[in-house]
Amino acid sequence: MSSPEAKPTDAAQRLTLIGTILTIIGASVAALFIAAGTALHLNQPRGGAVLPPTSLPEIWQGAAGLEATAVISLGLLVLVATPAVRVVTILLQCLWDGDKTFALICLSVLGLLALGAVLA
Amino acid sequence: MNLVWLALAILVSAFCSGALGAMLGLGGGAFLIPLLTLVLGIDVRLAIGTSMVAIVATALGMAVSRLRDPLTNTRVGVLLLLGATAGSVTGAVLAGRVAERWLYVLFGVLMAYSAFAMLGRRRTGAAVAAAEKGDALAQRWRLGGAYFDPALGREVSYQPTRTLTGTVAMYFTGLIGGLLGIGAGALKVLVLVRVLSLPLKVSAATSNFLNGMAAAAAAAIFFARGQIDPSITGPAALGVLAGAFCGSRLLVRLSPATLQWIFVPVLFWVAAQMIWKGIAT
Repeated sequence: MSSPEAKPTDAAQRLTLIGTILTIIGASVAALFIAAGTALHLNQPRGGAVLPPTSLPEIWQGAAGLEATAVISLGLLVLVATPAVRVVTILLQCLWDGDKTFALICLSVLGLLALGAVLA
Repeated sequence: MNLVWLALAILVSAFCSGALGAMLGLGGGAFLIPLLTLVLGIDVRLAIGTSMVAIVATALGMAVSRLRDPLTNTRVGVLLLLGATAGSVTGAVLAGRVAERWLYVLFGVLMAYSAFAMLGRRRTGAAVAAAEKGDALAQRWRLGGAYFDPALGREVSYQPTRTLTGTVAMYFTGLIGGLLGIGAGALKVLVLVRVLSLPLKVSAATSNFLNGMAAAAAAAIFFARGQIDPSITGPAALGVLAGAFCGSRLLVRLSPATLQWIFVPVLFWVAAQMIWKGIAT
């Protein structure tokens, strides 16, 4: 059967691999921060509830001071940001293969994701 | 409940949700929200925020489980993301302006109908067969794919059908997801299977890819709103990551019939849960 499936080139396969490795690194770093933050949280003395940080500067500052909720939040932020790597990798793949239509679709998706963040 | 026991309970609940979510392409929120609220007594607003992060974790757990994922069709996924993301952004903008109870009921009824439709298909012996000849757009944009199915012992080739209709349908799944703060993975799988004629395994994997991207954008909004409690979401994310990793490996080994046997009761469960939520709100 002559099926019109997308046949990836060597370069495209390498990009896919890089994207997957970056995803694994992102997920692992996120898991590490979350696990460390949870361990800190469980070992902290109870009482004196602190509101979790909601902005980037608060999270950075808290994480630098080894504040449990800030360390977990940093891990969660890395986790949430990691999927975008996959779309960027697909975009690079399309550009490499000269697939302009799909590159445009990837750019539109990234634009919509950015629009969502701006509207938030 | 003791803090350590609570963290452990969240971890175990999230592991089960992640495993089921990865196998069925639901993202895991459909299981995690009732477990967190009904069993562990956590506030529903925090549970929804946690669920959005859990959906991202499910997608990542699946991606990490295999270096070369033969099931996720990223080309189809990216095309459908256009519809799903646009719908999700519209839903997020409209959120709060539409009476949520009617959306819950509508969603529940839709799920119940879909479960009945799938049940009817199985009873009549008509398997969800992959299309061998796709539409013109699928041929032109090389959207087809193939994977080796160990359960069937052969390679399965497929070609998407009704690609444009599927993209428009994804807009509405994104709209519902954005409005309700859920992944709407069950609906996405249905569109992938019924409209695009993709095999169930490919649909489950591609749905998780779609869910991960859409939920990542929404999770940022929940973060900004303060609807994510790190002490709850942290253990949940870890559990879901591990559960999705294991569930994804199981997905390849299960037969399509077994997957359908799991999927239909899950659809009924989601339907009952949504209708109940709509009535009780």
